[in-house]
Amino acid sequence: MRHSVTLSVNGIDHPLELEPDRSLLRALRDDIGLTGTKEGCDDSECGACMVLVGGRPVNSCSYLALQAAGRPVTTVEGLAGPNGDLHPLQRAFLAEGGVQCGFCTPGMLMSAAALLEANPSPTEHEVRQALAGNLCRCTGYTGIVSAILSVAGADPDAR
Amino acid sequence: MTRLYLEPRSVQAAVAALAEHGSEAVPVSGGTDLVVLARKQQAPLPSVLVALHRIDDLNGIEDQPDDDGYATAYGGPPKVGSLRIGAATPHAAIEHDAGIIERFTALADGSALVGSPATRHVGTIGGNLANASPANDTGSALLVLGGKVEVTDADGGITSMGLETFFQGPGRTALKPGDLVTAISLNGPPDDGRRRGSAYIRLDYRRSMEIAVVGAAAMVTLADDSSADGGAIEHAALALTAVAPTCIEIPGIAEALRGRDPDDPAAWDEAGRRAAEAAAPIGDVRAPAGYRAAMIPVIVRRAFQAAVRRARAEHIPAPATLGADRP
Amino acid sequence: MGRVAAAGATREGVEGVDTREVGRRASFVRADGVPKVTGQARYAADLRLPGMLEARFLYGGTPHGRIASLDVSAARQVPGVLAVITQADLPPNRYGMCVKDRTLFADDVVRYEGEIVAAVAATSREAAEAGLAAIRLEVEPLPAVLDPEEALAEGAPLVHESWSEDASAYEGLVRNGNDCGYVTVVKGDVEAGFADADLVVEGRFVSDMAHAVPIEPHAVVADWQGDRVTIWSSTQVPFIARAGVAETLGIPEGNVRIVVPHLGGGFGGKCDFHFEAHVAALARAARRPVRLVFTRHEEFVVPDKVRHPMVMTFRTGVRRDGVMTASRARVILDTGAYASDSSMLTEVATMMVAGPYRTPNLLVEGHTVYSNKTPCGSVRAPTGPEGCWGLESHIDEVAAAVGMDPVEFRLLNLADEGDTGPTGQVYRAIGAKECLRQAADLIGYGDGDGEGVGVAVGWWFSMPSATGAHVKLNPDGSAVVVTGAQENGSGAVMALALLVGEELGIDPAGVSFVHQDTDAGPWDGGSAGSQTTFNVGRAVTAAASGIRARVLARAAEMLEASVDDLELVEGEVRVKGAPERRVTVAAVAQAAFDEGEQLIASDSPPVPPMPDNVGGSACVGRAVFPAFAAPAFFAQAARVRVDGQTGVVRVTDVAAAHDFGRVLNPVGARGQVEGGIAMGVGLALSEGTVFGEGDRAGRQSNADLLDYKLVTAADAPTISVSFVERPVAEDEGGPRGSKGVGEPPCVPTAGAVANAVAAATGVRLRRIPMTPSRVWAAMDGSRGEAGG
Repeated sequence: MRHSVTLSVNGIDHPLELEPDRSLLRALRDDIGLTGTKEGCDDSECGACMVLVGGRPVNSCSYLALQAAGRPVTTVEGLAGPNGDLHPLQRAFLAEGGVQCGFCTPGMLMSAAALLEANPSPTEHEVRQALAGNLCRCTGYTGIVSAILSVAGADPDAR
Repeated sequence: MTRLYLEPRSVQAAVAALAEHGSEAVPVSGGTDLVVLARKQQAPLPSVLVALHRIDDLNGIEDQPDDDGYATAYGGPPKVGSLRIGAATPHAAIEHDAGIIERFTALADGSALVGSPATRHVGTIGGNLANASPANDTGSALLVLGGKVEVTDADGGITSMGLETFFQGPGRTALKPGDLVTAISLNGPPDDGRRRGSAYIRLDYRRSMEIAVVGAAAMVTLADDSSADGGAIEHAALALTAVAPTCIEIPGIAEALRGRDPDDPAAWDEAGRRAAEAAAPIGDVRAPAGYRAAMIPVIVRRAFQAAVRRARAEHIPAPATLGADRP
Repeated sequence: MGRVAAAGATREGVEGVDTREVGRRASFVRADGVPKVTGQARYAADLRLPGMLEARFLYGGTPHGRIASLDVSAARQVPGVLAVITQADLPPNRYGMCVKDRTLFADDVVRYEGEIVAAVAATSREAAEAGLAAIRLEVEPLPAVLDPEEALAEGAPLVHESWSEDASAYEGLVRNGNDCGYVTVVKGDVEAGFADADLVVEGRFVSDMAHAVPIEPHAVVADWQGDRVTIWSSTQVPFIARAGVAETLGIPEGNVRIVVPHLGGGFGGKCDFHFEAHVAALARAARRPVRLVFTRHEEFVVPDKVRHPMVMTFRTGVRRDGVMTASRARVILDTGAYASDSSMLTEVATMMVAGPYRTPNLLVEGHTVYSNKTPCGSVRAPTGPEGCWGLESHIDEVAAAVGMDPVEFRLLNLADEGDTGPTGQVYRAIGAKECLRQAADLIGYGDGDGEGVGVAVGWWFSMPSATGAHVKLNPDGSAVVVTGAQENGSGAVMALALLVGEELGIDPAGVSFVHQDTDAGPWDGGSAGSQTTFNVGRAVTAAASGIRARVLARAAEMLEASVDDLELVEGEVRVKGAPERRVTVAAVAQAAFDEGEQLIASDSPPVPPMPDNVGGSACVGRAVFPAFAAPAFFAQAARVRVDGQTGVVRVTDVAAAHDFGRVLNPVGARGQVEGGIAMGVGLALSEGTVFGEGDRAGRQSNADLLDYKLVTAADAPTISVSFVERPVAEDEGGPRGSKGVGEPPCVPTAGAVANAVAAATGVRLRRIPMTPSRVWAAMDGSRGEAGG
């Protein structure tokens, strides 16, 4: 039986009719059409599907879409500013060689954004722990970690 | 195929919904395990999902007036700092809670080790316990800390049980259809000035995204609060993860260790021997049985050592880590 | 240490180019970067066409068996199912890069658990799965061949009973029974070499199956328009996939167009030809577009590009002064159920276990062995990490036998300019020894702080190959490169903008690409063999240089100067020494356009030859890799901490020094090194397939990302990198004397980690991955060697 639900994604309300077993990932990709969030595994082990729900990182592949009702959802498409200005993390990922194939990138960015929101000046250890649920096969994490640290160390006004 | 999804706003409504749909209904908290198993086609989602996330009473950690109704791991009253953890409280809240870190540190260790940061934000302690995985990371901590599972039944009746009763086997608990885990209660330690410490140590292969190969939770009370090192062991408890069909508490530990010198390796060897005797480790994709068995005394010793160091007021942040990871 | 290499720094001189840029990351922002950080970049699984169906496959599920019955009639009646196909619906065409030993779907026999038996297309994934459930399949078990050494034994059951009827895909392949590729390296007189030795050291090393694990699973979308099919695929090699579709479906290659949207990594796992034809056949049967997206479990079990389980034995003769006189080695690649591209990789493996040493007398034998497991083939530097680990572990033992320090021993025996390689090639200037010195320096080798440090050296080939490119200089001064090349994420295609920008004197940010589309660019070998910069770099440079000449000629007229007096920099043509006499490239291009001349050019430069003096007349089976063209040399050093009670190993630091020839894109090269090292640490410690026992024998037990353990951010080591630049001659290497970069970085890591573990613990592990239980067992011999 489908349930009526309104998902607020990147500040826009999406009224949907969803089966109870619909994952948030499928709702985002197939029902709303935001394909920036990726699917890389079957069991919350890769982090490619990471989004923010209520500001906290969530593996959307193993999260029921209906449970996201009433909680703001942020995906990678919602990171840049309204006029398309890249988020400092997006710029830093590019500048520091944190992007190669790009498939882990949306999830990495969301975990990084959640980290900096909770802890604006993390240590390298804290950055690595915060990313531990996001697998990257290309970069060895070096460029990603230094990108996040470069944003964390930046003048807060510049962020 | 799931046909019905319910979002009760109260415990009463939740247990009523569970009662109405009987064995077809399953409560879903964070959903991290439920949805994964369905996606891997190992266990289809139930036909009725009762979502718990809108029940405010289930989420949060609150101080409890001291309650002598439960036997505790510490002995007699009076007690201080008892806590009630709502079943839908996520691990991330538990691992960072000051009261838990101060008095129930092993539980902070266990919650801090679950999955990834995202899993800990979404996954809840009630869901974690109700899954009854042999590799459960919070069950052993709760066993040594004397934690109780509060179960609300269809009529609103509340029962409280220890983990040794709650865990019945891999994936099996004492919950009857219609029952809901509503809280975990932890009685605070007696107000006697004794030095106490606890730790949960997990043998795993990576620093994150892991599942226990062997886990040990230890709790110690030192007898002499006037001496610099706390004196001899007055009380101790030990429980193991991933070496038996459920988390298990090791019998006879308090008696075996009472009066022993906490810096005497023989004491921890004795605990390790008892643990190995009580365990029934299996070989699987994660480790051969022989290796698991051999690691029991190693992890037991480390858990006790961390617990003693914490009892002596040394700061060991959660999660306490293994030898190769010491900073 | 590495000059950087900004590609902008040549020909007109290096004024204005900051050579202090060494190691800085920010010098080049890739053109696909913004789409990738904003979520706009579309990958194959993101595509959706009107009416598109979802595909699912049915698998044999057993390592070896004969199909007793297969009935799909009920599946065709399942609501939402629009097509069900099996091999019976297809031409009996066989395919395979080395041996034509398989069909798209199982043909009578199932040879591994992931053998595709049938495919369903339906209006939803759920309906497709309901269709699968309605297929009736009975498989009668046959004896499974699971051990590669037993498979070679006389009288072993044959994985392919009628193997000799399967055509070889190229001449020179030596086959016999379960051995689908026998190869040797013969140099000097190995027996005479042993006679010269004072000591002989032996060793045996075994590596487990491992996987490529790109984070993007395989995905394919197929859509027919008349008799032409367009296939959007997550392949690394679109042109090879195109040929595979044509061959297996029996249609003209020209009727097949392969387009790769953004590719979410490959690492070899998406090389060759995979599921494009299955999906195309489903789409044809259903008369609808069809999409296939793999689960992670399928990703582990089904494709035929998995790292080989390998068995290596070494026997090395050495004099008391440390000079190696002879080496005899044997390497067995377990290729699983099908030969895939393994037979030619055994040629590579024999070179890897010979190594970059000057040992005068060699005899190496290689076998490629069928078994009833997931087929193996190219994964990033195929056979490299395993072969290097085995050899370098053995070399440490040889050094110990003569009482020498491992670094000193290697410096004594490593090849240098003028030395002869295993199959007779004579090396030009190479950086093998310098790489080792720099890696040792970077890690602080010999500082003696009590932690385990180990080193490993190695080599890897560049892959000369045909390719081509079209370049357009637009009237606005921007440029477009049309190439068949495939961007796998490394940036190899994106960084071609550096070469084109320099040649045309324009900002690389003004260069855009039409690529990875078989209808657009010239044929290219794709993202394989570290070949993109090496080959396509030469092609775009050649094409752009043709335009450059025309720009200069026209500018010379406009500036009333001689072409020889002009330089092309920063988007302008300037008269040297008179910078006020200038015209923009855009103005030149616009002037040409106004006169009806479009500044377009194409080129397909000659393929660099294999090295000279490839004697090896005594070598057998060397059909594809007679020698290593433009070889890269490298060394890595690792520092580890070993938990002596649990066997848990942490790699804290890795230092890498690589001779890639001229480094064209230091940001990209560094990214390849860092990513390769993380992969290498995984291979060393945690990445290995565990097979089931009993009735699960031959089936993977850890086909998921919880129990097949990649290195996480929390576990990745601190990495330091230096480049030792020994450019290759222009006609033998890539552009400006470069060598292949993508694969080598993952080669030496496992060997360095293994030697560090040995240094830390005093015990030698003979199997990778070095899981905690294996390390723990090795630390106490009484526990048994492997510890399970």
